[in-house]
Amino acid sequence: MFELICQHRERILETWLTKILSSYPEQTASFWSRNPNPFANPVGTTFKSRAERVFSALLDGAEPGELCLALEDILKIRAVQELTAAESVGFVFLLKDAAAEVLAEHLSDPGSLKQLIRFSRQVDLVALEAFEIFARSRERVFELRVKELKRTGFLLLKRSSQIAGNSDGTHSPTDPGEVQ
Amino acid sequence: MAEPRPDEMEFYKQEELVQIDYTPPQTSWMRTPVDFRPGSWIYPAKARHLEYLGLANPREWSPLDEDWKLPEDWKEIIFEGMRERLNKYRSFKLFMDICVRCGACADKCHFYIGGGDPKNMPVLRAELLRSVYRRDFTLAGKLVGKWVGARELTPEVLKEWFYYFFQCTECRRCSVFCPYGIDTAEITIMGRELLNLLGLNVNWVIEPVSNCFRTGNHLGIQPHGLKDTLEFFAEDIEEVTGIQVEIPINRKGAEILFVTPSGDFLADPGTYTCMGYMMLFHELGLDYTWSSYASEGGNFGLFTSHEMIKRLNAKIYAEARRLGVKWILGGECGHMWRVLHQYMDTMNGPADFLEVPKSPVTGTVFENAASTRMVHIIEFVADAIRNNKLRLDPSRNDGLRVTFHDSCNPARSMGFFEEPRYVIKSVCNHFCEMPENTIREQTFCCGGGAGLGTDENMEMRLRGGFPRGNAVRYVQEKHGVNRLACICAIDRATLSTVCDYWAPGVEVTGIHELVANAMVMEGEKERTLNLRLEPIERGEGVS
Repeated sequence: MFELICQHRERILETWLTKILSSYPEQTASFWSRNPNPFANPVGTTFKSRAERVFSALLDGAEPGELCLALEDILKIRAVQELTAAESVGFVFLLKDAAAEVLAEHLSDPGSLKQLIRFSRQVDLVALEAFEIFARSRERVFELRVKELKRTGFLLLKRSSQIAGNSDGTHSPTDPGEVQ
Repeated sequence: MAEPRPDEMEFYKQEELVQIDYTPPQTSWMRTPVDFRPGSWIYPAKARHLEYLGLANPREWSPLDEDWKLPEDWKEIIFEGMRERLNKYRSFKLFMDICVRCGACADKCHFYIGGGDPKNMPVLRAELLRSVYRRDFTLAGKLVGKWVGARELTPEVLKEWFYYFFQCTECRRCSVFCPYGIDTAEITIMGRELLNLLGLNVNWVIEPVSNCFRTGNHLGIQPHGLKDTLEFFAEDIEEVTGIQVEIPINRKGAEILFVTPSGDFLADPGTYTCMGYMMLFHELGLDYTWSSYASEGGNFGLFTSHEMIKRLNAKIYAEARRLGVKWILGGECGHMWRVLHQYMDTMNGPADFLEVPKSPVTGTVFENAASTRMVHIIEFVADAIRNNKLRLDPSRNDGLRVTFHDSCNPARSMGFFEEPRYVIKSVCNHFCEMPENTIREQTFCCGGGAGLGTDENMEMRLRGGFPRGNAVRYVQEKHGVNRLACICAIDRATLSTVCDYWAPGVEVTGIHELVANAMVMEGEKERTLNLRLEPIERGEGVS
């Protein structure tokens, strides 16, 4: 389906990664692209391996959910960095730019152009999915804030309800574990 | 001409789309002003707490305000404060002078690793202060200014200090890698001390300090509240074990004063660890007492100023003297032990009115605590286990696959690497380590230490906690780990959130919760529930 893109997949992937990292300060982009240790450099190595999975899933197909899992690993990180919502999700669109840049010399051929447009529409769908995951991650951050507050207040509420005689548990406070 | 269709290039009018510039500013760090992002800064201290403590410039203000309501002579106050500290602390002077900017620390900070803001590289964070030092305290800086990295102290620089010195958890991971041994945590400590001179501090630090000064603990729990809390724990212990444990409070003439962080009184999972202490002391028959006045092991003075560390730490020793105990036993806490191990002796020591701690259970003398007379509970219990003074049934923890997070201060400030692991392995059958470059002296911070463990800066905490969360997720996926043990109250609170986000399914525990669950107590009923009141899974319950 995407023969031309498949032929240039390594260069497109590399260009995409470079574009993703260059949205960070120069020294950070250098560190995140350089260090291959997944524990010393979890952001750089996660971006690299998951971007590769997303790209492969687009080109070769994948088990349902696999693409989302890879996207989620990237977006959970970007959702808590100092980025705007548009910047957080925007990395997906950079894949279109990367493909267009690498395939520039082929685009006078209508067949190649159509292939790129079809690919771009697939990327748009990935971006929609990314938006869903980003929104979920942000919701999770706020849930965790609530959960922390409930965890500290839970004991006090539990004790006060015991003191007030509700030992049958009918009016017990919400267990903080319920926010999942 | 027909309208273009979506599968034709002409359909797309790129120039009309919203243009997002993905490229960061190219200005140098000195000329990139700080941008206070939501989720990255902490609410300022309330005036009433500053007033109570007699700290400078109490007022209502917000970091988002243009005018921070500084005293008129704020610049002189900072310079005088720097001068005083440069003369008083040789380490501060050295750390200002000797950095060669080799960059060994640059990629070692969890905030930088997870967030990528260059001003969170320890060298650059220190440079925020050093640049001012250079201009006003060195000859080269006075002569050639910015050519040697010097700059003027302005309100914008102060704002930068506030933003970044409260994005450092003083965990000291960077200092492990510094070839000169620069302790960057001490630079943050100095930075915060200077900020405090102008009333620039955060409420999550100052309110606990004020509470501790008034009532004896960070949470402001009063004597009857403490008694009520411990009685509440005793009820749960009785439900699990059938045993009534004693609750000695403010008992004069006890042999040992026990002091632990008050976080363990308030929130799960610290509460289970607190129950664990009570069960352990009962089982060993310790002659001990709690104190309602020294009811805080933690010392948020460490995140404020040296004077404040001393004021809060002195309360523990005053109480030990008042109660007439022989020595002090301390609970699972992190920064408490940096204070005890590295600062207490020169501030309030030597505590020679107490005795050198000797375990009444094994006879072991803790020579390492000969001057402070205060012993960490993990070495106390490791010694008891080593001498077969506890009956243990580790199979009660078979439902758990445990890994251990070395809390920054016990690890890097005390060298506690083996004792916690020895205790965990004695009470659990399933233990595995996280990767080598994330544990022991290279351990990654929880992201919420040094007064950052509040919730308004949650994004900062989560990206700072990513290196730790990432390693936890690795052992979760590879070895089925479902429990993260640690010996720090702040860890127990903040890592629960870090795990919920980065490695959901892994829960956090203090080591004494594990000990208490495995401990076979004299006269106990058949144990079917653990301290969380969950059914105990034994043996083949684990694959």
